[in-house]
Amino acid sequence: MFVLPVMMIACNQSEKKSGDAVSAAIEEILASPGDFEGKAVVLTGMVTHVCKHGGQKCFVLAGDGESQIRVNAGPELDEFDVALEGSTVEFTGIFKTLTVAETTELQESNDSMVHHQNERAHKEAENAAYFLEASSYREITE
Amino acid sequence: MNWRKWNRWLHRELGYVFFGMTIIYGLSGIALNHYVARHWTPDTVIRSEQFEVNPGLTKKSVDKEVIRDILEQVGETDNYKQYYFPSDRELMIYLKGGHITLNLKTGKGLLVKVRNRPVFREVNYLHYNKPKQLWTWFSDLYAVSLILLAVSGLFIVRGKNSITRRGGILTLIGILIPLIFLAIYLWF
Repeated sequence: MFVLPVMMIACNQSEKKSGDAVSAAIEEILASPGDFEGKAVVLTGMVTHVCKHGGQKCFVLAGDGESQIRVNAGPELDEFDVALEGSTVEFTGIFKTLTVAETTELQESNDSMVHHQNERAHKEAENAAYFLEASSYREITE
Repeated sequence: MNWRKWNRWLHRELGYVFFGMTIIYGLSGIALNHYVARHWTPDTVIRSEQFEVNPGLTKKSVDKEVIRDILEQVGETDNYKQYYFPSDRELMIYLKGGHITLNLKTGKGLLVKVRNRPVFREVNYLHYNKPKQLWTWFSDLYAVSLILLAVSGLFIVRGKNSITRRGGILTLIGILIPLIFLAIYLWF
């Protein structure tokens, strides 16, 4: 019950095929996002935050317990349920990278939101150019 | 049967059939207004409770025993999910239906419990067209019917309160008010 599962998730994740998607640890993806651009990817981690306004994005913790990655809801998904926070979830989707102009626009948009101006552990992931556009997900633990 | 009788018939029948839908859309309309204005979260009720534990904790000193003590103190042992450290000075414990944040240095914590808000959760679910599929068409039918209700309502009454007299002035005021807001906030 009191295990910190975020540590164990990444430890047993080397790149492997899951259907057509490549299964990879979040640290691997964050270390070289260019390698995953446009690829179908499966990643797993604890959801630290679900955007309360629309549930269109959430943030997933890497195995190091610090880095996070942004997961956006793709067209196949309505939204992420806030109840996912604190659960370990496996996401499948396409890894995408924004252009410089799109990234700047995203960062300006985030900075303009009052509730985004506080110190947030997922701020780096929130402003990052790259993200997973999820087409499906499944909760592994509660 | 002249057109006024047909008009009254249409207004009455649609009014009865779509009474429930109007309440649903009216209630969720209020919710949406205040959700967008960030006054409240209509779908959920959030309750916060402050508590304190011994100060001077660090990331290294937090283990399963510490987590268990905190959960016991706030009565949430059965609701534990996972924990992590958003920063060197903060601990976040996720619960079923909420979370705990704790300042490690000061020992001051906040228990946040979230539950669904009855009625508003349901009406918002429908208003935002979460069911999709058939609900899309039924709510379209309601939207068209609402227009028919509004138009037919203009021609119910005759005499000094009719659309050509006092009723017309009130209708004009009702059209002008949103136009004024558009002019102030959007167009100029």
